[in-house]
Amino acid sequence: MRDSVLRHSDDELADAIRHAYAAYAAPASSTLGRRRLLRFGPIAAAPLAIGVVAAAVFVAGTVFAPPSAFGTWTATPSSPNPALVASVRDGCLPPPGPDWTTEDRANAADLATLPLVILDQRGRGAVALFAERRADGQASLMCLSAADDDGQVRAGGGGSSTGARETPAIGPLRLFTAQRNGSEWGTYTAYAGSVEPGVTQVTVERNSGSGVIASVANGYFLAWWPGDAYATSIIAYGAGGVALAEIGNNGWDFLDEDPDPSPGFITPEPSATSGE
Amino acid sequence: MEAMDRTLGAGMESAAPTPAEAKLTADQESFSAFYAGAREPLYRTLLVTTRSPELAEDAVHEAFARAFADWERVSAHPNPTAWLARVAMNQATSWWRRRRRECPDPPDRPARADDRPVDAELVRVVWELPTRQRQVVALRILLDQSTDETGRLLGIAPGTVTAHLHRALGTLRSRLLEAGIEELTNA
Repeated sequence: MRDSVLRHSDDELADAIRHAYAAYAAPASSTLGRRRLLRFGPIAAAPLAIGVVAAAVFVAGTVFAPPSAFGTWTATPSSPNPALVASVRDGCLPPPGPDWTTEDRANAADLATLPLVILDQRGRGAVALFAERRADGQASLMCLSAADDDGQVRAGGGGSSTGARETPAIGPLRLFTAQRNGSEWGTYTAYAGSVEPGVTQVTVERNSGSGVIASVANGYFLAWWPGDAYATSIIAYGAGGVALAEIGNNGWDFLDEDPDPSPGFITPEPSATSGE
Repeated sequence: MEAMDRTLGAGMESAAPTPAEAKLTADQESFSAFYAGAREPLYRTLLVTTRSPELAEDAVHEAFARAFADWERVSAHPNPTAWLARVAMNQATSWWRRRRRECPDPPDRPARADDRPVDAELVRVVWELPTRQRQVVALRILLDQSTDETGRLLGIAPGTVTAHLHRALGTLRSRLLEAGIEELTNA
């Protein structure tokens, strides 16, 4: 009798999960909908509250959106746009809002202290990486930004973490964040990690079939691309183009919080590191 | 005055809609039907993936707003629900919104007539799964997406989706046993 739960099939367990969560219903009239409905005036019929929000999104998207940060993307990074370097920090850190808690403000203040280590420029868009190794792990802040034709910088979404887990060092290569973030230009995916001196280039192979050359600077690497392709392999190269290390994604999920022990780690061949 | 109202009303009833009006009406009806069917599963999916009722509500609202704004294209998508899920999940993971903290505990579960003893524990155990496992459970089970579609939505291989689901269900079984729950369906 004690094993009866174990005997239940996956389908029965799935049905039970659906049943358990069926009690949660979407709020009938959201705060967002009410607020915008009042702002734009009353309109009849149930789905029209959605329509009002849609209109707001559409207008914002067509009138105020700058040229896409994605359309000019390149697989090889270019020199950072000085305008972005100068202002990306302000663009990436949102100004405190009235609903921010004390903890929100403290977290933002903490993130504001991180140094800019890479600005990975690809066409008009660039992803900035602010990072610092701390006693409790790697702290980082990443965000996408782009400058419009007038030089005005717009930040388009990113993510941050403190005390982040890192992959074990594979030779001179570690990965500490893999993110897929929303932005006003669409989804982008980014991978960042640290490298030891001697690494001159890092490449990222993707499930989409094409590779990306990462930016390498200040002991870190970063690569990003529009869309949601994921990395299948990250390879570090040294002088003369010698492969020093590879982190393979052999079925392992970079984004998993608690991955199974390292099925994807590929230690470098002795000949690759020794140069034999 | 009544006569005038009746005359106006009669005149409006007899006027045939223009093609544009007819299309708008058809689009609204089509969207309304989709909205009615997809809203609740999508909300529950976002609730589980974000662990925040507020984030889930905002993300679902925004996703439907975008779907409405581009309904002609979205309705022609082979899987509009997956499209919506992608938009909602992107919304929920943007830096600006993610700073709001996840709720460590699930919100109070409204009582229902067909409640089972296992329901509350199941909700809690799913809530406490690692992020990726929650995403997979939400997309595969609550939103009824295929393994391939779930993989596409999360940017992981189908085999990885299967592995996450297997681990999640294994954790659920273990946790239910630890809680002394032996049957899923008895009242």
